[in-house]
Amino acid sequence: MPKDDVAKAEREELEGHAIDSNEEISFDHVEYTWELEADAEEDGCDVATHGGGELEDVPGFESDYALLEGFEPFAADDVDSLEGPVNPCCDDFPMPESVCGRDDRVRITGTTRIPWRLVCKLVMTFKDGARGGCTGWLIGPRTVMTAGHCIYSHSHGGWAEKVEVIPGMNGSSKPFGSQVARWFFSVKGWTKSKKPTHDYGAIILPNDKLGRRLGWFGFAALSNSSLRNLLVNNSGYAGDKPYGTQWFNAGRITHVESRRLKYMIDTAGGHSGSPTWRLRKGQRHGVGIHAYGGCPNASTRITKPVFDNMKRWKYI
Amino acid sequence: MSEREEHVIDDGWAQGELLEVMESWPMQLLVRIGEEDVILEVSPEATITFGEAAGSARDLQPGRQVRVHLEHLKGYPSSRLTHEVEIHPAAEP
Repeated sequence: MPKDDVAKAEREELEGHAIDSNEEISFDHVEYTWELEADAEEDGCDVATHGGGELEDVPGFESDYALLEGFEPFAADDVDSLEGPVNPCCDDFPMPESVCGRDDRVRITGTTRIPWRLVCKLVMTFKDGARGGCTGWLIGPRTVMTAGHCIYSHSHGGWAEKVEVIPGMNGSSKPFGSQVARWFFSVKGWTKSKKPTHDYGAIILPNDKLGRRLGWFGFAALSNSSLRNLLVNNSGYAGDKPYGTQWFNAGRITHVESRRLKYMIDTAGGHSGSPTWRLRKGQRHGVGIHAYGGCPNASTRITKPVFDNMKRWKYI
Repeated sequence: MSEREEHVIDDGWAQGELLEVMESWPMQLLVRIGEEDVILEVSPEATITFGEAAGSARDLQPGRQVRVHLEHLKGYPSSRLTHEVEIHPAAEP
């Protein structure tokens, strides 16, 4: 592609991160840039902070399997490839959607503990009356991160009318209650252009009671080298399991793309918006917002523009 | 007339390439139909076929050719959903 075309495409990609909302609000102008020389981190509130790439300690979860599933040493041209190879692992197995290889998801029962209580079941209602389910995660006192398509649905005419946010839901139990939110953010790259690379957004809760009580995740924009082969964790509210139950899985990032992260971590419908996080030296930083299935499954990568928007939404 | 038939308007069949599978519940698909990228919701009760055989959600993989029965909700012309998805086995990802 000619240099001018590359520059134009990159400019359009960056412009796609311009904030959109269902409410009138203006922010100071931000010039979005690609960084990737160094990692940018915003700490969470459970901080005892670590750093590195470790698995959460979940009873019943086979960490040895997670360490190796889908793992191959990276070839140089895997990094930043927008056309990553599709792993055909699912073809021979009769399993639910987006379970790659063996289904080794583990149910989280102690959802009142960190980090599980920071993961929220979302129940969306759209203006046409349609309802749906997704997952979100607290990143600030009243800010819940999720996928763009969970709060702005092109198949249901746009912004959600309301979203019930239920932290740490455990079956029929809502251990911390819930809040109904009506204020949402995404970016124009999703709301106007439907770009999967810009599929992220945030829910603003009516007040900071939940966040102040429960804490929140940190998040980070990591460089390609930091993300390569990184062990990451994911937990969300799977639609193929009993209603309101949270399911954990973990594994390595197998493909680092410029705007998405791919892995063989098992997920299902309902996981959209869930956190893909790095546990390192006791500290948890979200590095992706899970959004897509298809084996390999994929998160929207927290690049520098995404990180900048998350910081702006964090303290609203 | 069932409740569904009262509220769902039939827009006919369309064919295209499955680009993305969004993991909301219900799932949403991004399908390239002609020049247009269409996002539609797959009803949890949707019938999915893979060639001549019964298929499942796991068969919905980017790169495959699909034929979808498009519908919208009465009074909401911009809504897009489907209760029937046919996956063409010939075109593998």
